[in-house]
Amino acid sequence: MEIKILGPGCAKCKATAEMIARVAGEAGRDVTIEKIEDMRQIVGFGVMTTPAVVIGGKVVHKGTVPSHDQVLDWLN
Amino acid sequence: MNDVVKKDLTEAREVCPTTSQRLLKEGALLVDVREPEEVAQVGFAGCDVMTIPLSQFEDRWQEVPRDRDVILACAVGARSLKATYFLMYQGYTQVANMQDGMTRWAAKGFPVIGSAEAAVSSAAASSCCGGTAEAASAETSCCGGGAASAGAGCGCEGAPAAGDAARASGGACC
Repeated sequence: MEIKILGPGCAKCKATAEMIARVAGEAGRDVTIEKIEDMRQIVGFGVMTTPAVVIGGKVVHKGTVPSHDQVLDWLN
Repeated sequence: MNDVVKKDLTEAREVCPTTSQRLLKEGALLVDVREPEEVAQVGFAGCDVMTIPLSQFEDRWQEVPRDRDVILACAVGARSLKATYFLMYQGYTQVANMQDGMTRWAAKGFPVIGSAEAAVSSAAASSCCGGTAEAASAETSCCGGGAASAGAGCGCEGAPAAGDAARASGGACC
């Protein structure tokens, strides 16, 4: 599963990446995380509030670090 | 949430405050994306101004007219560049970002409401992490990548954003 994390590289963006990697590890899911930090590319997804998460062509989350259960829900 | 329509945005047009001043006199609209407390300290004057804080921009961008030249501005030009790209994403074509924002506008002696000195001090003290303003030096802030370089020489009018480069506030020709 390919997951894009949109954000300028701030602490919340890093926490989001860590949360997704951790939950994927716990759940035994194979995920590829791509960080997109360039502002023009981020806005190119129609997103202004970060961190945002894109999975399967959908912006599934934006504005906060997702919870453990949210991430698990996306992976399932 | 939403299906993504990913767009490869072209680089935004950027104009210096001097060129902005001319375009505004010719009928362009200035959209100030600073937060209300910043606007209360010092505001753009002498032109047609619309205020939409960046924190509300996703909900209010449709208030920006499509049939008019629009210049977006903030304290130093980073947040307004983001708003410029967002309008470009939404299909706007007559938009430009004001390089260096209120800081340079006030330093040039262009009209303001309130204290021009506040423009410089608020920009220096602000931080993008608080959600109210971007730092003066993007290189050291979490907004890195959002600011554009002032560049060398006066390629201000129509110059595209430099993208990843941090803005050198003292290097602009204008």
